[in-house]
Amino acid sequence: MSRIELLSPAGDLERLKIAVLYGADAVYIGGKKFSLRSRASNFDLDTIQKGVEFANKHGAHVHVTVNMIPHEDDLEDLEDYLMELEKRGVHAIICASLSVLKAAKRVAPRLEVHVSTQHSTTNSKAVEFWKSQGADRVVLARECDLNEIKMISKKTPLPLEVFIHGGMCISYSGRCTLSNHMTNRDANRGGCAQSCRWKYRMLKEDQFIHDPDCLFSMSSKDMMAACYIQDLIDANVCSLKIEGRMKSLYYVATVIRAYRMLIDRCYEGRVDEAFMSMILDELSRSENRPTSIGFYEGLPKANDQLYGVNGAGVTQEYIASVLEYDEQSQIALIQVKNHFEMKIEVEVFGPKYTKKMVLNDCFDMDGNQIEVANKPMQLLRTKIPFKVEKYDMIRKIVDKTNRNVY
Amino acid sequence: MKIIADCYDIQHLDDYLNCGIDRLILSPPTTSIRPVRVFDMSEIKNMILSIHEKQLEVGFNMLNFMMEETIGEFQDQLLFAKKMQVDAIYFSDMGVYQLAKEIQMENKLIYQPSTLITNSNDASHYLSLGLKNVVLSREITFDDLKRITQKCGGEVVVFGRNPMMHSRRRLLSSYFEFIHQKDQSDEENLYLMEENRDEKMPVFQDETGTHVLSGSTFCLFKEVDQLKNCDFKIEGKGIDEEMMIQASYDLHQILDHTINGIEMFEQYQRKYPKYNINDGFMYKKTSLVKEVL
Repeated sequence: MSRIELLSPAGDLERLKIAVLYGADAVYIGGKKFSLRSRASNFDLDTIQKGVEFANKHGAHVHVTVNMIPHEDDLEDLEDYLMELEKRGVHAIICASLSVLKAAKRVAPRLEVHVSTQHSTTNSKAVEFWKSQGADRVVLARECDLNEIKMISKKTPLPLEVFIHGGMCISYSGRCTLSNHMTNRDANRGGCAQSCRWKYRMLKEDQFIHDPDCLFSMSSKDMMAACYIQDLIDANVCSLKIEGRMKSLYYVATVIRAYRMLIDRCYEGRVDEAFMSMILDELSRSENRPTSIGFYEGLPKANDQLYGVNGAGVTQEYIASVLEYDEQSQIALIQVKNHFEMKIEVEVFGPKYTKKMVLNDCFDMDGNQIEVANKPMQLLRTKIPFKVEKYDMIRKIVDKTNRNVY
Repeated sequence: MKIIADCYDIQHLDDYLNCGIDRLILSPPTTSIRPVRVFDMSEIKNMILSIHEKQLEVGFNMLNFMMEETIGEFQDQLLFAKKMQVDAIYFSDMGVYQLAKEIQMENKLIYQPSTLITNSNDASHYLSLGLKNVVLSREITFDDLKRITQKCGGEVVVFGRNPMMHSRRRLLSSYFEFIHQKDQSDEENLYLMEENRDEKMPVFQDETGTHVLSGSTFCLFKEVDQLKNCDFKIEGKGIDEEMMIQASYDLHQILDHTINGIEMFEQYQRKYPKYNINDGFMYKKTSLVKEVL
């Protein structure tokens, strides 16, 4: 039996590389056309090819989202686009339109076709339908609980993919027009304004009945299903999906690395309480909204919702990326990501290690010593007393007792 | 060209007949969503007989998502519908299609996934599965609507509130719990109003989850005579029965060219301010994304 796939989002080529290096088995990305998440820095065809080459070199696959719900004029050039994706080595497309599925099977038969969660598939009979239409995989609706996933998986004729981490639509995916209605931005064509996360007053007839200090909202906490990975492996689910093509490099690195470690340990049968606690701690370092378990234990409750909070905050823990390292001099070239002062305690981490150290003096490219690093993207040199590599990261150690993401 | 509407009360069957309705939709328990009224299966049996006796068609609202443990209930209702010769079954989950196909009744199915039928290619692909019809999405322009109906027909919603959001979560109960207020989620006539806007959007919670409807009422009276080769649906949720009957009657008159659709649309705007009548997405481009705003 093949091992479960860890499927990462990536909004650009750099994030794709990070995802692969930090342990993703596959990465899903959006193209310039036919894709949702318009704010993600979607890939043109040449960049897709570079991503595929990088991923394949590291034994990973690239999936491309072709998941918009097309209107009458949106399907133009679809076939050419699908043929290009196939030619450039893309492994699979993720789609929600039967037209896209059929076109892919007709003109690009080497592409796997995965049915998007936009179709809100909640039962084994619907999976049977998608198989009859030629689909190769179905992404289940986030509304399925663990028992339902197990039941579907037992009966299903197709591999199943489930979400394990990240933001959640409050509505059944793909069936919401709040954004269309309130902002003229079509959620099913990449324009979702997340109107569900706005604040609303509530009335009964003409009387306001909301709490003026805490307005109603349809904003859900993010999903974090680390505790169910073993169950999902046992249930024979084929792929574990992380949400967030618009998330940062740091998010991709921390979340993918944590799930990579967890999945590997599950297969080794060595997940104990201390290890799980470390994983949960690691996941809490990423830029999530507060998290809950989504539908895994059934219907979410009041404390799985967010009131008075619209978006995910930024922790600013991620302070620099390693670009180069000279082993002989132990000098690293780093790029500033967030404000930091010198001599603070930091963690340097890569795909397979985390080490603590006190940050040494940093120097700009002219050799001037820096007192405070406060220019994002500035290049600095600093001494790191152990071997690091390109794509390793440096983060502050934050006392979580006072941590306030918002 | 048929007129299709929800059944609120079987005692009013003559009214439905007189206003020109051709098909009445009944909402059974568990499998329906956004029903104007849920009827139990024994009631439904008699209702079907009464409706057929008047030479009207019967439609079933089976628009709920089918969860794995409810497959049996959907199966039973399909078998019941087959036995009772229900004329049309509205569904939104392809699992229901798969079940119907197993008992050779896919030709009774009408696919109404609310948002997914937005182009003629998709409509044609679904129709080629042997379905009776598809209900076209409302968030498309009138030009697209005309092109799709010309190419492959379809059922067009011409009057009603737009269903904007369906969550499986009990969002109202959760909110009342969070603010330590008595749970009022069973109450009728609850509305949401975004903090900086004044649109009153109906919201309700039932066993299928939480639903938000548009504060405005979608009305295609000035456009219907340009639509050929399609059926017309009036959706009752969020409007009262009297309004539904009146709208069906007026739609019938417009289709018969007895009255003018443009005038009637304008009259409705004046006469029914609480319904905030408009033409929805018919003349709006919703292709904006954040970069171009």
